[in-house]
Amino acid sequence: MKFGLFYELSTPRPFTAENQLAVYENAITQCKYADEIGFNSVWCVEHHFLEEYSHSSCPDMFLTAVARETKNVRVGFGIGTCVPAMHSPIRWAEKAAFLDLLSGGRVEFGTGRSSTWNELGGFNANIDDTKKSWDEYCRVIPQMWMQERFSYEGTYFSMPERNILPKPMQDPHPPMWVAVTAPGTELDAADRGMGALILSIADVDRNVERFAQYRERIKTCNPVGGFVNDQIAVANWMYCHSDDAYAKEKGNELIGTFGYMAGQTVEISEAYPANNYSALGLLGSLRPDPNAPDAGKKPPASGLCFGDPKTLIDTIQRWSDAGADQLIFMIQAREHIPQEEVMASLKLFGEQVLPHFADDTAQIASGG
Amino acid sequence: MPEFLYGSGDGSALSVSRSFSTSQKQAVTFENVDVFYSLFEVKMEQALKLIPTGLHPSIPAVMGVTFWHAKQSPIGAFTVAFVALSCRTGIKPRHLVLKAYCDSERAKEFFGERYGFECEVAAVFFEERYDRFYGLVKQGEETVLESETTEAMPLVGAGVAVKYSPPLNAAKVGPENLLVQFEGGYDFKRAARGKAALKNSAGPIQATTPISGTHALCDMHFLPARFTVDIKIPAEAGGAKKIT
Repeated sequence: MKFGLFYELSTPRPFTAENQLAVYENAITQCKYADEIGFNSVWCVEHHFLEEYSHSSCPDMFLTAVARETKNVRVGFGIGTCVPAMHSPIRWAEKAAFLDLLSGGRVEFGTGRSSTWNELGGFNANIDDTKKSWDEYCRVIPQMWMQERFSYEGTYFSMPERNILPKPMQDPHPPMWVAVTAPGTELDAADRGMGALILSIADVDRNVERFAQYRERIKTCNPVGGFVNDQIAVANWMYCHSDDAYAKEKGNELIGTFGYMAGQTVEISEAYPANNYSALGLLGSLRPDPNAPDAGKKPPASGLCFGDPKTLIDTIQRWSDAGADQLIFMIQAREHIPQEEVMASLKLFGEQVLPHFADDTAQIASGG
Repeated sequence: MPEFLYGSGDGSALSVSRSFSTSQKQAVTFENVDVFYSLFEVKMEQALKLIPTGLHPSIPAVMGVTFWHAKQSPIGAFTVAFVALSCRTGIKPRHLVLKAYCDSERAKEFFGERYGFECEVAAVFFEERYDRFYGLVKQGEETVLESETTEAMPLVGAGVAVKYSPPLNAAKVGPENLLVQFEGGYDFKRAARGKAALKNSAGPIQATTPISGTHALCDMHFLPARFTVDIKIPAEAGGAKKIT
């Protein structure tokens, strides 16, 4: 099992320069420490217009800052939005390759398509076509990295022959991932030979079959890039404290804070019914409705990493047994937990949880 | 304490003349109801002034225009229309009803008694035309609400559904002015989505950017009301309460 950190860069009101900078600086400090204690990766989302929930409109800049402050952690786009109104695939290929060089070959490239009206509506994107444009982007970006000169005539993107520069350091290119929220998207990832970045946090048990199906399907994939990335990474929450009950209490506060922030956004599935958005995205899936007729009947997700070191080791082992390769943790929400407590949580995790999975972290240090 | 984004309205924009009894009613189903539902963005500044202090706005601020039309039902034929503002009582979207209309006394009584709708009786029309879905409300000679959706495409596969935010109605519940949450269920027979346009709206908010217009033919289940919301107490502090 490998471990990473996952950043939304949520920010408390008022949105002053000081508050904003503190969020970014605290996150970078956490990443530096995580790098020192053996974490494998740092991932950063791309979001726009999501007040409080995520002020991470430029993940490439955050990841570059992290890369220059660290030695080993891989730096992941979690994810780059593959929607023409927001980005050209050329720009993604350029940015990821640029960062791959500056980080010494540590980029992971996650892809996705956004799930909020805030963002897709804000960019006046064609919502009905996001899955199709995502598919096209996934196929052309690796080719831009691998081919000296690239030209393309497609549905959502076309370009005459050009040399897209720079080329990445990793040969043939950084690992490709797909953000997986809706059921079945893990199979889309598998079909394309891409890693599954599971962003719908749920019970371990509910993911066992999903992981198995991904593993089976990817055996017969037609990879979009130069190699198959058959990893499963699961976004999760983590707060570690010697007092198990206190850790769980803090964890519930983190989720409550996240739910408040996510609750203000307008999900595509709520505002713009579309055949390609029949399931809730990450934000929606993480906010159980307390007023729903079945509220109170569903037990809380069993795979959340809140607790003392023993609880966390047990929970992580369950994820490992289920087939997850990586857990990538959210450890803060709108600076709800003071920075020194977040750092203490990371320290305790590094001292008492990481050693139980030392064989895996040794592989990480060697780039495995 | 962190700073939250709440409405700043004092509730005066809401009609609270109707009394609502929390005694439980039987669930009933009306078959083949046309649900014509359109969403538009509005200016946040306008929304915050109308949303009471206990509720959060949605971001961006959104208004909904809804028509319910039944050619026949246990309360006879009826058409109901209402204009509402998207808000959060907790972490899920709700629609704060600013203005409601219906075309029959029986419908007025039914929706008022069960969910606190304060409908004004008016000429309310819904029509499915060859090229558009069209809703109209007239009071005398004045058009007070006119909405249409064109270029509609059917929703297919797993997507034959529309997620409706439950309306919240201001009403007197005992001595208090509260919001009563509508409880409905929908069995979709067909659904379509197209380009929404708000041609007339005499209400206190003006649409800016259209989001979507939908029409669905459903069997609608009218369930007992389950929640009331205090307009002054933040949802996080217990503003939403289950009816016992």
